[in-house]
Amino acid sequence: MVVKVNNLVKRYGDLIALDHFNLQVNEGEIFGLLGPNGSGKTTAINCILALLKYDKGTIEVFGQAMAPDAYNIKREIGIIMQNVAVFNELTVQENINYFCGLYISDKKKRASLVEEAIEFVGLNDFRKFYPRKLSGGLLRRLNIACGIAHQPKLIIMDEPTVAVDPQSRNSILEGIQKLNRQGATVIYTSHYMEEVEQICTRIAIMDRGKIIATGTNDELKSMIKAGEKITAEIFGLDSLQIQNIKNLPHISSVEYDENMLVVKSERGKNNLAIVLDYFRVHNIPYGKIYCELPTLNDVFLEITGKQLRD
Amino acid sequence: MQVYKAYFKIIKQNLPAISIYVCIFLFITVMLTYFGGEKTSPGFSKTKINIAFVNDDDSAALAVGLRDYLSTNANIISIQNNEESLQDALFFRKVEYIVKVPAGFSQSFFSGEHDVRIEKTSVQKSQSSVYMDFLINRYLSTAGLYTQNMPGISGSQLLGFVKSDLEQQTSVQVKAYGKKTDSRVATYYTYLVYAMIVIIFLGVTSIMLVFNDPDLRKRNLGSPLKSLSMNMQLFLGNMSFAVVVWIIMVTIGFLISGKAAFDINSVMMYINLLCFAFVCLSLSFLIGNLIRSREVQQGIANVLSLGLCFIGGVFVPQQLLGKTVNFIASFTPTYWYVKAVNDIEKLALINITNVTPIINSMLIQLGFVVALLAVALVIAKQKRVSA
Repeated sequence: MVVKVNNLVKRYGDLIALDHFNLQVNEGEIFGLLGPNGSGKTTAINCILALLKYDKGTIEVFGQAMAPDAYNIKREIGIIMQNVAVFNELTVQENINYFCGLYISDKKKRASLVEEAIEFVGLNDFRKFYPRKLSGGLLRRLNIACGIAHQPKLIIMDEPTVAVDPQSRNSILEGIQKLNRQGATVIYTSHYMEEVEQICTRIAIMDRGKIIATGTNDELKSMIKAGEKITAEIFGLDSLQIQNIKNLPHISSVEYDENMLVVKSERGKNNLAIVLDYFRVHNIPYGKIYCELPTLNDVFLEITGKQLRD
Repeated sequence: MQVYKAYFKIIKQNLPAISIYVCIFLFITVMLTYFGGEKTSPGFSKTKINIAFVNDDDSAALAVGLRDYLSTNANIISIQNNEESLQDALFFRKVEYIVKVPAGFSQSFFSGEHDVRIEKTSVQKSQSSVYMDFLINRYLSTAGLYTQNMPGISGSQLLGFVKSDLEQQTSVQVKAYGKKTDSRVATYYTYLVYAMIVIIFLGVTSIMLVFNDPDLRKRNLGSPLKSLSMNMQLFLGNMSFAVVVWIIMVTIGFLISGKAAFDINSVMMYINLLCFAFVCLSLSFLIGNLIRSREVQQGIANVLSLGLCFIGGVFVPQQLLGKTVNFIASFTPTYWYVKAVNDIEKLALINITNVTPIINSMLIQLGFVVALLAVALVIAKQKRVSA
């Protein structure tokens, strides 16, 4: 077990930021902590890193109690915070060298690690640039390089893709998977479910300071009743037909607006086939048709009754 | 020493701003030293005032003798002998004193009359009139002594005796004992307090603001770098900066001191300034751990520098400040720095008795350094984990 958090409670006055928060992260995982803004993700990360005092509970990292002076544990952790944390007065290379130097005292080894990190994030052409000259995406890459240059065993990333363009985002996500393949355990917090679905091997969904569900992507989706969502372009559908579709097996809701029919089904087999059969039998012509599997947003919606992006 | 090395890279980027602070504040200090400092001289030089001498006693010997005597101590200006001209001359300060010897004055004087008077008109409440009164009284008293004790003395004899008596001079050598240091040097080191506080405070806190950026701080605190090590490296960087500022200030002090730059008094001034530089450094380090924005930094720099200068006796000499103010000021390091400067300025003889108060003032300043640094380190440790 790389990280083990038991019954963590953190209060800010009357507000409970973490309410008996429990977490277990295994070696080799990309563990996603998914939740809306204000759900307590960053507070949890700060507590795990011993940057924040908490009221109750225990935190263990690499089997040892985490504390502000647990320097041997901190040596194995890489931190990538939500906001870019680099010195504007140092160049790209100097920044990476500075942060790597906080972990690695051997100059030769550090020089080689800095080179690897620059290569890894693709900042080779920008090594002499000062951060204020970099674009948002490049800055994020520098932020990541500063956190991973010392090749930590555990990398904690707190929303590293906020305000990043799609190209840089893909590059960052691919980088995280590469780091994981190289042996690092990653804790990745985000409120972007697509990112978490894309890269995380296991996911915990947070709301109001609590973990409300944990599992793999498929495990989480199997926890809910919702199945596929079928969307079809159909012209002139009458209310009787809409009602008939609603009465088909496993169909939970039907909406028809501006010639677009949206059929939501419950979890089960052949839902799409049943709907298509109905169209064929009743000679209902359709244009585009597509089917979407449930998302983590559906999981969140079904458990909490609200959208993940609220 | 990652933090220490980064410190200098960061200060290099801030160098233009810091250089501007250094130039402006040192320029102000040097200007104050040359144009705002003490201008009194320990030496003495005799000056003469302008007087009018009106002799209505014709060519009587005593009146002529008095005129000759007064002419050695004042400039006698010729003015028409009428009331209006004399009053105008006094009003327009052509003369400051008018002596009028009435007719029959000499005769009355020689005959031993007690109530003989010389008329005088002078600018009211002027020092020069007191001085002229003194000279006239002195002349007539001396002449009176001869007429009383040598009855029948002739006019020419009397004038000869009085002249001879009053020509007697006592040689006086004016020595600046107890004020060995050039007052300009002392003024420079006193006014330097303002520049030192502002330059070190703005320099140190500018760097501290960078390191105390919440996100950077988190990243540093999340690393295995020990809190004490980080703070000591930062302090060492700040100390190097303070020493550089001290060297610049002492170099200018060298130029002002001239040949006296290597006197024991000058050396003591350098050591005292170094102690004060460390005080400014630890104070800035403490405040740098607390502030979060450039606006607050500028505000505190003004309040701190001006406040400490006014209360500590930089702009107003400590002798002129009340007992209560000096007592309150004794809880500030500026007071002890300025006190040491004043003591060094007066220091003429190097012995334990004279040097002890100066060393005590320096030690008290170092006490402030230790206390402020300890508080700063405790605060830095407390802030390692947020509540």
